[in-house]
Formats: sequence, C-alpha cells, structure tokens
Amino acid sequence: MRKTDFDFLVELLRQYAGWSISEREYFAIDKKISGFIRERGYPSVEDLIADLKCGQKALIAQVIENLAFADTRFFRDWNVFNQFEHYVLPLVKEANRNLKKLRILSLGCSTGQEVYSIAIAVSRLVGLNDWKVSIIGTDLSSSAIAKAQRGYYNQFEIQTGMNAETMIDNFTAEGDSWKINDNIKKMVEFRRFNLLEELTFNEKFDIIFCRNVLRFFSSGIQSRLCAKIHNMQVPGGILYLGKGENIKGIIDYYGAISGVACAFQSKLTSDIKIAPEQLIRPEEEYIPLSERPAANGDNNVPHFVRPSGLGEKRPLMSDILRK
Amino acid sequence: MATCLIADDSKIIRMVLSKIMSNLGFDVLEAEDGEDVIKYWKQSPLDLIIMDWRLPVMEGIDVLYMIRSNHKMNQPKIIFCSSLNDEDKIREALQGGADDYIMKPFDEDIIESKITILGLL
Repeated sequence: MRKTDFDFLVELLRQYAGWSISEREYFAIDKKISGFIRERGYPSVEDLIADLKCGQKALIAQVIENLAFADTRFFRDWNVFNQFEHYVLPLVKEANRNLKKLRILSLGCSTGQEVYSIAIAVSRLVGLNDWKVSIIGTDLSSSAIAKAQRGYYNQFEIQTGMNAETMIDNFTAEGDSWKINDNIKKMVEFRRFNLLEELTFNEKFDIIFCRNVLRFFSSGIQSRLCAKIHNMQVPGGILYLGKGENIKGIIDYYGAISGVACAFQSKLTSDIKIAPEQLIRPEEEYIPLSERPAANGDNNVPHFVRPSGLGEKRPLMSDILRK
Repeated sequence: MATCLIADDSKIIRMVLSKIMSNLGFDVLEAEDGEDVIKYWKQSPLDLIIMDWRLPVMEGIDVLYMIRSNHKMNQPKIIFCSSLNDEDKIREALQGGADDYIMKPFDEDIIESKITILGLL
C-alpha cells in the first residue's frame, strides 16, 4: 500500500470514526485492507481508493467497518481476567448485595469474545440466582456485532485464550465451529454503537470494559469520552482499560486501583470538577417499606436511602479494597 | 529455564512446536513415541509435556494414565495436541488428568495462551 493511500484511509477513519491512527499502525491497516480488496475482488488498493474518493457512502461505511474490526480473543490478558473473576467480581457482588444487580458493559467488544468471557466468569460466581445480571457488548462494526450475536467461533478463535475445560463447559461443537451454549448466550446482549454518538442506556454500569479502544482516538476526543464513560458508571464503579493504555483525561474521572491490573475506580461526582451538564445524577436506591429500619417508631414515612455509592447502605469498592 | 517435552510422530509438528516453545524460553526435548515419553519422564525433571494422542508403541492417553497414577514421581503439566477434536476425546483427556488440550491445526498464539493459562509464562 502506498503512503498516500495509507494517509487517505487514516483521514477516512478520523472523519467517520474519530480515530487517530499513527504510522505505527501501517502494517495492521495494510493487512486489513488487503483482506478487504481480496474479498471484494478489487485488483488493487489504488482501485478501491479511487472508488472511495467518488464518495460512495455505502462503500465508505464498509471500509470503516473493516478497518475498525479489532483484534480480540477470549479471556484476553489472562492475568487481568483471572483477577477480574476471582477478586473484582466478588467485591462488586459484595458491594451490590442489597441491590442484587450486576451491570457490566463492554465497549468496542468486536466479535464478542470479551463479552462471552465476562459472562462465563459471572456464571461461575455463586449466589447470583436471584440477581438481575445485565451484560451488554457494543461495537462500531455491525458485522462484528452480527458475528458476536451468532456466537460461533472457529477452531483458532475458540482456542486462543481459553483452556479446554472452559471450552467444553461453555461451547458445543457444530461441524468445524464451536457454538456458545444457550445459558451463557442468554446472559448477554449486543448492540451496534459508535462511541461518538449519544450514549443511551437505561441503567448505569458497575463495571465497564473499554480495553484497547480509547487509544485509537485523538487526545481531545479521549477526554470527552472519559467524561461520557464516567457518566455511564455508578459512583465507585470499575473501568477496565487495555494494558499500558495512557488515556488523556482518565485521572480527572478515575483513580487507579492499587494491586488490580488495568482497573480504575470512578471518582464520586463531588470530587470531580467538570461542567455541570456532565454531572451524574446519582441513582436512588429504593428500600421497600417492609425492609426499612424503624425510625423513631414511625415505619410509615416513605424515604430513600442515600444514593448508592455515597451512602452507608452500599459499601464502596474503595472501602472493601482497603480491608 | 523450564523444560518441555514434545511428543509427536510427525517430524514437522515436532519441529514447529519446538521452535515455538524455544521462542517462549523453554528447553525443549523431543520424543517420537509413547515409550520415549515415559523414558524421558523417568530420567528428566520435566515441567511440561505436549503430546499427540496417537503415538506409536504407546498411545498418549496410556502415557497420561501411567504418569498420573505414579503420584510419587514428578508430575509435569500435560497438554494433548491432537487432531482428534471431538468433545468426548477432550473430556476423556481432561478427566484422565491432562491440564489442557490443543486441537490441530494450531498456531503460535494458541500455544502461547495455553502456556500462559497454565502459569508457565
């Protein structure tokens, strides 16, 4: 691929996806675009670029999707995932014991391996039978989301990052593919979603995975996205970034968690100096009348406990981590 | 440096696996059949055995049973690497005491991730 073609594709990604791609990504882009032209029968990259320059919107969207298709694997960064499953998840469960909800979001989930890994880890956590568990994965690429929704993986995909025991416990062989079992598939939901668009979810999340996603954006966009992601998170919630990701603005909203790799804890809104429109309205946790402690002998006055994460009813992750 | 024994009757597979494991920092030994695996196991302090199911002289699964039934001897991690890719075989190997199972064909990423999961990297 010629340098001018690479520059054109970088500009395309900047305009349509907000990504800031450096020359270090040349070989990765070259590999992806070579696969795309082979698949579509273009004689060369130059021919594809010529069509893109004509402004064919559908083609532009397909190329963006293809380039945005991120590398992924099951239980990516094994040690990080191991700590997530055996240390962080039980702590979040303890913090939410009154709420009985566990809400996890994976941004930039690509073809679903991360989301299914999270679901498998959650399924191995005991005592969640009467909990409302919500695991949502999003990605810019609709073809990645379609693959994630199908839940079929080839022999290379299924074996990379996962041991055989986890594989046969959670997948079933179908021809040359392995299909995710229904009990895990039922736990997850996938949505196509561009991080630069308006984020709309009904609930805030206890844990957000956004690994190896933000680094592709320019530093200005990174700061704005940190604020957006923080807005989607419960106070004291956990954000996972990729290994070694240095994201502009992250320290304004999150603090690193000592001893927990790649994990950051969202700061309480009162600690953050950000624009009023970005402030979170803390969710209120309603305690049914029958479960409220009697106050001055009057058990009939409706009241709300303090917002979760700010009150005494819900222990903060930081308090638990300190123990 | 950890020692890994690679057992496969295919010279090419042994060569590919040896290269990958050397790159990952292992001392590598090679065996062509099941009897050789037992010989190495008795002589050398092995950390890991990667072996095919279908080995000449003594099948991989019998090698596994022999090693795992000798509790007083060195118990290396054992990974099967086989083209017998059905769930029953995988289950049988795991129930027999194998630590993991690699379905052929494989690539470097798969090997590296399996070794990482076993805590050997």
